[in-house]
This record gives sequence, structure tokens and C-alpha cells, in this order.
Amino acid sequence: MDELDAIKPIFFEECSEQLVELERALAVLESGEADQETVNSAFRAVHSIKGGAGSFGMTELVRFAHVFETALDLLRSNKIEPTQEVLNIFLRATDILSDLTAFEQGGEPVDEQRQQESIQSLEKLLQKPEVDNSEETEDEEDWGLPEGFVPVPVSADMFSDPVSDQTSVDGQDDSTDGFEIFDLDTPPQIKEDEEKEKKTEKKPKIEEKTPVISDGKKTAQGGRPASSSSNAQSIRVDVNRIDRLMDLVGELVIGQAALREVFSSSEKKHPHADASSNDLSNAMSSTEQLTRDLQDAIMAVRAQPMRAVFQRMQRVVREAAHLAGKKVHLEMEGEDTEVDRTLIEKLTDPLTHMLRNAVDHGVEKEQVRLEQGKSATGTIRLSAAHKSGRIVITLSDDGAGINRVRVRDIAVEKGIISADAQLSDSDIDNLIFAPGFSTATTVTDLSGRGVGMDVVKQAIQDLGGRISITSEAGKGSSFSLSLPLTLAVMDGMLVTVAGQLLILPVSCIVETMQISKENIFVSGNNSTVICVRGIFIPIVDVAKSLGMENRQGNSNQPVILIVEDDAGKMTALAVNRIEGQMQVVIKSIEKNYRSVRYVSAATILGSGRVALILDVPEIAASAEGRMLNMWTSENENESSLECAGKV
Amino acid sequence: MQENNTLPVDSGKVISFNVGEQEYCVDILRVREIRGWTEATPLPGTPRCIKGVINLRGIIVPVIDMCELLHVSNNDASSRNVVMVVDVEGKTAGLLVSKVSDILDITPEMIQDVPVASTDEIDPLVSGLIAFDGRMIGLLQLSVVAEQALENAL
Repeated sequence: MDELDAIKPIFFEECSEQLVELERALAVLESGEADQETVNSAFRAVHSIKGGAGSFGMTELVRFAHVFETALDLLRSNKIEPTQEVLNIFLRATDILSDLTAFEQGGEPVDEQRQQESIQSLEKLLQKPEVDNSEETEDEEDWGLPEGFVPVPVSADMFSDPVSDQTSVDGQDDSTDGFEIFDLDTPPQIKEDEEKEKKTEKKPKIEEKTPVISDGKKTAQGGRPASSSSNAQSIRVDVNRIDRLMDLVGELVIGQAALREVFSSSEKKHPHADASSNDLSNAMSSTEQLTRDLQDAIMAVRAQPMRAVFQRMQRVVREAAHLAGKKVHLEMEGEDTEVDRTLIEKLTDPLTHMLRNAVDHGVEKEQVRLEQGKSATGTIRLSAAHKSGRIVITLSDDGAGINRVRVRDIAVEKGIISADAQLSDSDIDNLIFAPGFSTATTVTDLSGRGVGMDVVKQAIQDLGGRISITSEAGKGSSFSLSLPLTLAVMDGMLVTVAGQLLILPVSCIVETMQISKENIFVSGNNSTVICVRGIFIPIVDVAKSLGMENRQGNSNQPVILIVEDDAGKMTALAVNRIEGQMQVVIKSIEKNYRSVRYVSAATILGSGRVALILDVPEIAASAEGRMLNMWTSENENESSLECAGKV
Repeated sequence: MQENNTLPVDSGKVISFNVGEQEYCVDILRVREIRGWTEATPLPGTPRCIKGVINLRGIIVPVIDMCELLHVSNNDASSRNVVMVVDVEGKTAGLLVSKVSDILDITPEMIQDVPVASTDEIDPLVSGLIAFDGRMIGLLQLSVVAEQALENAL
């Protein structure tokens, strides 16, 4: 049994893959673009789960999968039509199947009633077709019997299959197996189909006839080619190994930087470069390029398509819509966009929450929609795309949009803003991200538990991402998430602040500039602003915010970095000097210490020293650095004069 | 060495070190390595006893200034300072000490209670005293060090 336990995780992993495949196939069926292969892949998915579950003795799962599979077989043999009604039953059954596998993995037990309902509706499907009923009724009686008995009728089904519908393809398969190559008239797709068909037809038979233990292994190892819709070859690798590889590349990047530093300092000592130092420089550049390529290659290994998250969202929307009594259709785009797997895992919860919100608060009730001349079914679009080195996920609905009057009232009521606050539309929209804000008047099953969009925003920010919202009354709202492609490496701007090297993420920097005193003003409440092309931007003195004494005094004119937050709010950070840009490996401080204010993480420089990575949004919001010391102490009189003129 | 179970030190061996003029010791098994002092990167908004963070082969490790933590005046702030890298409560931390002196074998009977005038004065950092070779060595409680230095935001 130990051996079985060892392969159990593989089985569950396969299950989740099969469930994604099943969900995808049903989505294609729903869109009406399905061909025979789609139905086959749905059938295969359920069948593989059943086969695996059988060998692990998961009786409940086997029973349910069996009924499900039998019903899918009717669809496969065209005995029932894939109407919306039928598909809904299948979708519900998919949810139950997913819950059952989750339960076997140690999750929550499945809602008994829902499971029974689903089984009943599946059985109802089985009773519908008048023709060929004999076989199916046999099945129905079967599923109550001991589990060892179950698979037999199914393999019988499979034998009968070629005669019913797949005659052309399977007939060939059986008779002209060896002559396939010479059959030049057969289009390639059909051959492919044939291949797959063969796999499905043959494998289950083996699985079901071999004794239990080896059976499990077969499913675990052999399930893959049948499940993946592409023909790409793949191997399963322990995630830890890839993470280790990633760490090593990180070290390589640091080593590379160290080498470069040693080189440039020796260059400085011997400024008259000879040919060999030039060669050395070139060789170093090419290894640097290779390191970057290597890093990209490993990132690609860790990358997974967004599909893994997106497919789960279908179910989220389905259930949320069901609970809210609304009709909602989820459209997805860019499921093949690849992102780092760590991001995928961490995106599931925020996206789930946002989708539930969209169903609950965004999309109107059917009747309201019809009154407003909209289609009865609301549409939520979820899309992912790569955009300038980041991944952008947009979630938009065609619902009512944000009710700004109500949002404002609630924010006042909850003490988030004062009653006389002057807010732009976008400011009001952004109030929904404020902690403790929840617009639902009643606490519904879906959302409105008080943990709202602020939690989502926090989760996205923890990933180094930004979230923004646009909304139009009556037309709907759209959320846009922008996330880094990876959590391991980023491009950083190296700056000096009070004699210390600090890193800012390049992604948040809009522009950098030399300060000139005509553009600096002091406003009333002791804060400095800079005027950039006619726009006043508050200045934050980074050294002051960090509580570092400015050892360099006022000798250096500060440099300004304009940074932008998610809402497009700009802040000017004053630092002593910009040292350059470099790729940095992100290292956690929390691992051995705790989180430090204004610091998001650390990195290791080429010199081996630790440099802190600034938490830009936090520092931009800090009050301590509002007064630009390096400037005002020197020109106090002048600035206060200017201040009088300005304010 | 049969009474190991009553010994607060698993191995029966401790490393003793100086913090200013005073001498302390920790279980040798908790010490990962001893390295020379390299300038640490200061962290903003942290208590005085946190010197900053250093790079330990790619891992970011905080350095605790034991002089600050134990309120020992350090007249001799020379570069002879060393960092003892210790494992504590699942984390790795560096202890900045003046110098590492000895490896000692200890037995439970060698450990005396810390004499206190009143209960207010109990210092949880030191759980016992060892008289050795005419010296007094305090047995440092690393878990308390971690609690006071690494977790308290102060």
C-alpha cells in the first residue's frame, strides 16, 4: 500500500488536469464549436479519474464518475444532444466530481444533497433515450454494486462504440492498422484523431483488466498523453528542483555582477586599456547575455498558462450566478498566456473574490437588464495578456457600473472620508479598495463579508502588482491587474540615499530628473512640492522617511524620481544620486527577521553587500519625508517666499 | 554526562564568548558558523540592537548587537568583533559579539541560578550562571534573544 500512497499525489495532480480538460471541453461544447474529439476528451477525462480512483479504492468517487461517464457516453454516441440543459447537468456534475476529488485529498466533505441531485439528473439523462436502453439500464443497476464490478459494462460500451458512431475512424483503426502510412488520402487531422482514439480505446481496457495495484500506476503514468490536447512531450519534475535551479541562477546573476564590478574597478586603476581587457569585457558581456537567456529559459520552465486559474473561474461564476439568481456568462481570453507558477497559485483567491463581486454587485438581475435593453444574460470578460514585461489581467462586466453616489455615502457613513471631501469620479471608484468598505446592504452568501476589495488589493500588491478600476454607469466596470512576470527577479534602479545604496523597482518609476530650485515650492502644511511641466507633485525625502541622517549633507543636489501608484497618483522621491540600473534577485527579509516598514525585500549586490528594495507605494505615502530637508534648510528664506507666492 | 536530559544544553558543550567585559555562552549545536564582522546594511525603523542585515551565502540574515541587547557598554568597538551565526526558532540570526573565547564541557551541576535581589530583576535572557576557571559565564537563552530582538517591533 505504501507504493500506492506514493503515487497518490500524482493521481490527484492528474485529476486536477483532467478536470481542467473536462471543463474546457464542456466550455467548447457550450460555445457550439465542438467536434467529436471534444466530447471524447470530456469522456476520457472522467474515465481516467474513474480508473485511477478505482485503483485507490475511492468508492464514492468511482460511483459518481461512473454515472457521469455513462451519461457522457450517450453524448459521445449522439444519443443525446448537447443542449444547454444537458450541459448544465454536466457542469454541475463536474463541480461535484471536483469536490469529490478534493474530499479524497483531505478537503471538505461534499454536500450530500447536491451530489444526489446531480446523480439523479444524470440518471434522468440515461433514461431519456428510448433506443438502446437495455445496455444503459444495466449500468444503472450496476453502480450500486461493489466497486470491482463497475468497470466491466463500460469496456463493453467501448467495444460497441465503433459500430454506433465512430464507424469510419474506428473501423479503419481495426482493419487497416498496418496500412495507415500508405493511406495518402486520409487528411492528417483524421490520423491524429485516430491516434488518440486508439489510445483511449486501448488503454482503458488494459487498465480495467490488470489487477488493482499495477492498474493505478498505469493510470498515473499513462494518463498523460490522453489528457493533453497537444502533442507536446513533457516530463513531470519536482517543483523544488526547479526552484533550486532558479536559486542557482539567481546566485549566478549576483556572481556575474561581482565579476563586472571587479573588472570595472581594475579598469579604473589601469585606464589605458589594452586589447586583452577589451576581449575580457566582450567575453563578460556575452556570458552576461547567456546568463540572462538561461534565466529566461528557467522562467519558461516555471511558467504555466493562465488556463489553470481561468478554468477554475468558470465554476466560481457558475456557482455565484446560481446563488445570486442571475444569468451570467464568463468569456475568457488569453488563457494560454504564461506566467510564473508562484503567481498562478496566488492569483486564484483574488480573482475568485473579484469574480464573485462582479456577479454579485456588477451584473444586474435579469429583469433589470431587460428593462434597460440589455441582454438577459450578463457577460463577464476575463482576459490575460503580456504587456511590456508584465502580465495584465482584465476583468470587465457589462453590469450597472459603480454607483458613485452610493459608494460615496457609504464611505462617509463608515468614516473613510469626510462628508465634505472633494473627490473625482476616479477617487470615488477607488474607495471600494478602502479597508472595511463593503457596499452590499445585506451580507450575502457571495460577498459582503466585510473583507472586500481591500484584501484583493493587498494580495495584488504583495505580488508586486497594481490594480486599477474604470467604471461607467449603466455600462459596467472594468478592473485591470498588472503583475510582474516573476517574483524572483526584477529590474531595479540603484540609488544612493544618505550614503546607502537602495533599490527601487524600475517598473514604478515614471521619470527621473535633476532638481532645479525654481520648480520647488513649499506648501502650507509643511510639505514641499515640485512643479513638473505645470503639474505639482508632492516630494518625499527618502532619507528622512527612512530615518537616516543625511551624511552627505547638502553638498549634493538631490535627484528626483517620479513614481506612480496604481491610481496614477504621482510622487517625487528625492534621493542623493542615481547609480544605475541592474537586474536584482529578490531575497526575503521576513524569512530570518520580520517585515520592515518601507522595505519590501532585499537583494545582494555584486560586492556581496545587502541592498534594501524600497516599498515604493508605502514610502510615497509616508508623512515623515514630506519636507525636503536637503533643499529647504539651505534656502529657507527663498522657499518660504515662494511658498507665500504660491499658496 | 548521564544527566543530559536535565541539561539545558543538548550536547553538553557550549561556546563561550565575550560581550564587552562580560562572558556568555550558548549551546554549540546552535552555532552554525563564526565569521568576521562585515559592515551590515542598516534597516530603517528597527530597534538599536539590530545592526542591520548581512549576506550569508545568498541568505539575508539580521545581525543582533549583543552589547545593545544586554546593555553592556562596549569600550572596545574594534574590528575584532565577530558574528556568531546561530539557528534560533527556525530562523537564522547573527550575534555580534566582542570575541569568541572557548568551547567548554558542562554538566548540570555546574549551572547555578542567577542570584536576584527581587523578582522584578529577573533577566530572562540569562537562564543560569557557570563558574569556570575563576570566570562567570552566563547561559544565554537564544529563544528569548529571538523574542526580544527579532520579533518585538519596539
